Amino acid sequence: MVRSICKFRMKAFSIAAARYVVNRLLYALPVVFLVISLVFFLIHLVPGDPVEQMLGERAGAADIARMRHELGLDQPLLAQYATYLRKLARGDLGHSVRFNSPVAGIILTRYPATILLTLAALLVALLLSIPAGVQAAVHRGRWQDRLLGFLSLLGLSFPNFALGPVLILIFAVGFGWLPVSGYGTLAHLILPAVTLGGALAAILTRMVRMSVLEELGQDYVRTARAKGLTERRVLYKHALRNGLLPVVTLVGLQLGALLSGAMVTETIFSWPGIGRLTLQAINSRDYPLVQGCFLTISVTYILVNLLTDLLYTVVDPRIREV
Amino acid sequence: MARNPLTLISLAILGILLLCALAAPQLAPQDPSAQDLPGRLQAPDRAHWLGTDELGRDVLSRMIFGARISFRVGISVVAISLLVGALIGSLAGFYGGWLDRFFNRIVINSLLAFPGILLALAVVAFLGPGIGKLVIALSLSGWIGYARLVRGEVLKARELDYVQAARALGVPQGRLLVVHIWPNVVPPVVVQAAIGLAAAILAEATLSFLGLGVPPPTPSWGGMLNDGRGHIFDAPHLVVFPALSVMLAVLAFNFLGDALRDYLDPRLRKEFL
Repeated sequence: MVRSICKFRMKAFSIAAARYVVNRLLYALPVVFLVISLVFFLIHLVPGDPVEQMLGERAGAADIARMRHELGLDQPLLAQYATYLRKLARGDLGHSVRFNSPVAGIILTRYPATILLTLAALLVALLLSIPAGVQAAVHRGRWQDRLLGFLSLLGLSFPNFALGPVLILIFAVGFGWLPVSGYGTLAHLILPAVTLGGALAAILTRMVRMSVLEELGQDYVRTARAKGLTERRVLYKHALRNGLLPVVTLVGLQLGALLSGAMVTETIFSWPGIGRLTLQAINSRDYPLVQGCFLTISVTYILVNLLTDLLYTVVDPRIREV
Repeated sequence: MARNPLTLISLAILGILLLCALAAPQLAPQDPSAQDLPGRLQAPDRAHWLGTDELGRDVLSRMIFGARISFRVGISVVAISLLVGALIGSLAGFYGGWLDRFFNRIVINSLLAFPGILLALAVVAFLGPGIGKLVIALSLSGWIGYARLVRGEVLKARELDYVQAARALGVPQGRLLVVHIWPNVVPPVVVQAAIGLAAAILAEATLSFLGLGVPPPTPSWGGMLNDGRGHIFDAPHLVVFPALSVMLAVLAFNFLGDALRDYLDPRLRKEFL
């Protein structure tokens, strides 16, 4: 009897979970569609003729006409939009003027570097913020707390385009421990990851502190202490584990900032990712490539938020039932 | 509010920066665009307190004029974002219904799908550089925060007893919104505006650093950092001083925002700095 009730509840529970996942997916679809449309209309913001801008002043009339035709800009707006959507459905993001090859292919070669950098930055942020946040909470109101609070505010206000060059000055030029820029080895990854993850570490430290403080006041922590568990175990196994819930949400929300921060960091460290590619495309007025980059970054952002929401339901089952 | 030393220091920093912005031509020791190629990349000395850049221009003078750009862009972006956001947020929160659904679900959600300053970057990338375009681009995503905040506050205030009483007494809708509801909305909006100034200054500097903000030769902190990056080995002062000024301005506005929050709503007082 008990077993069948349990089974029934499990089934109801997984249906609720599945419904939540489907709902959340359906909700993301129109947003993706809106982003796709916004990116399409961006090229029409270009003052004057985008084709002339791309090819430069010396381009001949025949070249301009040919390119206009290739890009479909000689068609009515709605027809252009329909063609754009049709191509996109086939995974065709257009043709890059600068690289003279398909946009999707170029983005695919650069994408892994950005993902690597973003994940490394996230790791740096978590490795710095969790112990710092816990220590600040434990020493609430004392000098450790104040120092960490001051450092995190400093980290928040220190822009990554300033942090990058300063880190290069100290660790590459001054001590000569790490390379100034480049890609390939772990040593190349450290400075860019710290530059990109620094601000996130600062935000997360504040969040971890706040949520650990909240958990430390709960009854179950008192019970854990009364059981005679070590303070370390109480902190990390009990309080922190529950306190991490809001941190997961914040990480998801902040990944967007990481993705746009990657543009700056990749530029500073000559990191061959999609951020630097976007900037190169903007500077060379390679509009199809710019559109492809913006589309990829935005869709990644939406997917990451979706994943965070789903991950959140795994960590906190109460959400599925709401 | 004034008792906190950090608040006082922040106010002093912002006062100095504002003075630089307002009286740049009088304060700057030299013309910020006067080139002196033989005296390029000089370290700080008596003649040039903060050294010279790669074209021999005085860094201190350029920093003082740079404050002007930062404040101009920051204040313009916050003013436009606040006006648009307050208007849309008030209407959506006050009238509700399809207006609220349209703005809250469709417009705001689709704009939020662009991460961070990417929307501004996308717009600038296609519109081209320029201060006016930069302000438009940053305001385009900037108003969302104010709209959401104002909408929430209006929704809360709409249900307060005295507002209901005023409604029952037959106060016209417009008057109800402006005279009875808005005073409740002002304090959180002021706090948001102070923090928004920090964000706008940071965003301007970031875009200028990427070469997409204020076009040269107009001096801006972000642009100076970008120029100085190539000389990080031989003239690190070109990187350090603009970086410090962006940081100080952002830090000061953030502290001011926190102090204002404590002052306007002591219940929210935070102990963590």
